[in-house]
Amino acid sequence: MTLLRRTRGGPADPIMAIGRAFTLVAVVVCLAPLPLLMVVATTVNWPLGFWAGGVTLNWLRDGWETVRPYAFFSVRLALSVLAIDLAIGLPAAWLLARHQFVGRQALTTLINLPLAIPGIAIALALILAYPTARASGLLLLIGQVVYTLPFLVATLVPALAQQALIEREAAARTLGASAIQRLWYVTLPAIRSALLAALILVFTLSMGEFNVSFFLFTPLNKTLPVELYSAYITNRVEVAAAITAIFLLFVVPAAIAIERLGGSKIGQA
Amino acid sequence: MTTAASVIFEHIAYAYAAGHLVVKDVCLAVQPGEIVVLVGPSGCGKSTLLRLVAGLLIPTAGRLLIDGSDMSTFAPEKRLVGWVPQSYALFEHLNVRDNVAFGLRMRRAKRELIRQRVSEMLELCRITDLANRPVTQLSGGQRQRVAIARALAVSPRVLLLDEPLAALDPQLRTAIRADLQALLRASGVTTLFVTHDQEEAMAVADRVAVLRAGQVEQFGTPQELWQTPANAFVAQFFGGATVFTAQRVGPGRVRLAPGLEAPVALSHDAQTLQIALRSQDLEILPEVAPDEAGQFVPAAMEFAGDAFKLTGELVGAGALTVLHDRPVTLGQRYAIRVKPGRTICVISQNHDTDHHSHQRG
Repeated sequence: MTLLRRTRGGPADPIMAIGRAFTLVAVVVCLAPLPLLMVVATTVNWPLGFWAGGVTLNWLRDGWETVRPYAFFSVRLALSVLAIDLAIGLPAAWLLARHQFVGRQALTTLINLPLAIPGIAIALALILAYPTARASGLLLLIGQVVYTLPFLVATLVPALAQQALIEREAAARTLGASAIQRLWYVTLPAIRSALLAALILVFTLSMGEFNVSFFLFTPLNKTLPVELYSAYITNRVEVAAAITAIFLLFVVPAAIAIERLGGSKIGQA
Repeated sequence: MTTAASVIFEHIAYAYAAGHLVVKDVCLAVQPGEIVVLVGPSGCGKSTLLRLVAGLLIPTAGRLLIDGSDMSTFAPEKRLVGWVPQSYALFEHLNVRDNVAFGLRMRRAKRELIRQRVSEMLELCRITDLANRPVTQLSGGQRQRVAIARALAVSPRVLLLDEPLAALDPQLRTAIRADLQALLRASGVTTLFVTHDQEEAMAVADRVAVLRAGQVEQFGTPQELWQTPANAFVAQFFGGATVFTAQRVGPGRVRLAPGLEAPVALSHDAQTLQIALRSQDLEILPEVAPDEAGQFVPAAMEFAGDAFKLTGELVGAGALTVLHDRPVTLGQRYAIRVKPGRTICVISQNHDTDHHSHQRG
């Protein structure tokens, strides 16, 4: 909303005015589908118009019945991705933030590479490299880790690289704190909000990921967005809208939490 | 309450990168309970010396002895040395009390001991009233006290203060400096104190080490450094003096510039001497000049409260700063002489040729 606020007391600036108007239009265009989605999801017969045939919650109930197993699978998958990202990403971010070493640039490039590669390409590369791992759902997990890891690392590196934090750790050291004590009592409290933001970001990205998942899923390991896609292909538009609304229910609270925790920290690599 | 320890630097050297020494062959012996100030321009290696004592850096060469035992390669957490960086490095997520208790908790001290020791430290540093405040709500002076209380709580053998006053408002600095000195004396801990401000060094120190480019130029009491600077750099940087080359004209007497002669403190045999001239040594004379006077042409004038600070040229010698009680006309010639009864400070060594220019340190 800050984008829309007028600078108080400043002279009228036509360029700023155009910018504000453009932003307003963009926000309306982006947000308009959301209420519409709710209308479609609660209309008995959408092809005939707004709330044609009356208001119903049946579509939402049917939609939930359809996606429930996939929703829970997606949550479990996202939590697993989170755990693996943390186990790999926190030490990697530490290395990148604190140490100059041969191959540092190469490591940064390697971690960020998936950002530049289309999801389809990541998925196909994984299938070609590890064809036997697909059936178990392991490839799906790996694919999502590869896709989400750069976001986690990019959020944590600037937090860990703060000079003030490095000095505090040094002070803790002179006070007698061991490496584990420093990590637990100094470093983690200091990067808490960046860490939490990174975790929610990874969770949300994993929940919504489609490109990689669409190529790597199996009937037993199918994610919510993939199921959403098949709902659009095979079901009535009202059910698809209902499933989309349910999907947003999972993702939007997390997105708001990121914003609250200081979304500005994200991507300051 | 603290067992004060001696600190001995034996030919300590340190290089951040291979071949680039920031500390070169430093030898210093700090007595137990002494306050030693390391003073020098930025980049002279003074903060690096503190980090070496703290164990945050390991010397490239030489030995560091604390209380007689070699600590050169000991980990910081095992040295029992208190370090207060310029930023104070307080734990922002903790309140004052928990900051002060941190070291004792990390060392798993008994709860009762922690409680007692922390309240002692809060009392000593006069921050008892702030005990439950988050450190983010404190002023600069209060933050400094918390940082010192935190460092002292573990009863360190040595306390290291890196520019402890630099982050404070200039108006507060002098008052807090006096408080800090009283606090250090009360705690009795051996203290190494880093600053780039010679006035601060003089005010706080038992002894001062003047550093330049990673080397100790002189180590002594503030009075020694003021009265007998070892070289031009010490005279300029620590004494705030202008260094001139003067000609000997008789026993204990030198000529600084045409018409300007003065008595010197030591009787040197050399014909050419380096002398350190301070603005307090000189006075500008009324319009009618006697024969025995030099000539001074002021180029800039600053009002300094009780006097005007004139910067200009001593004709035939070089740039100079003088204090005068009245405003002057810039660019005009004034008669100048050494105040009657003043003897001029002679620099003991003369080897320092690259710094005999008339620039102030």
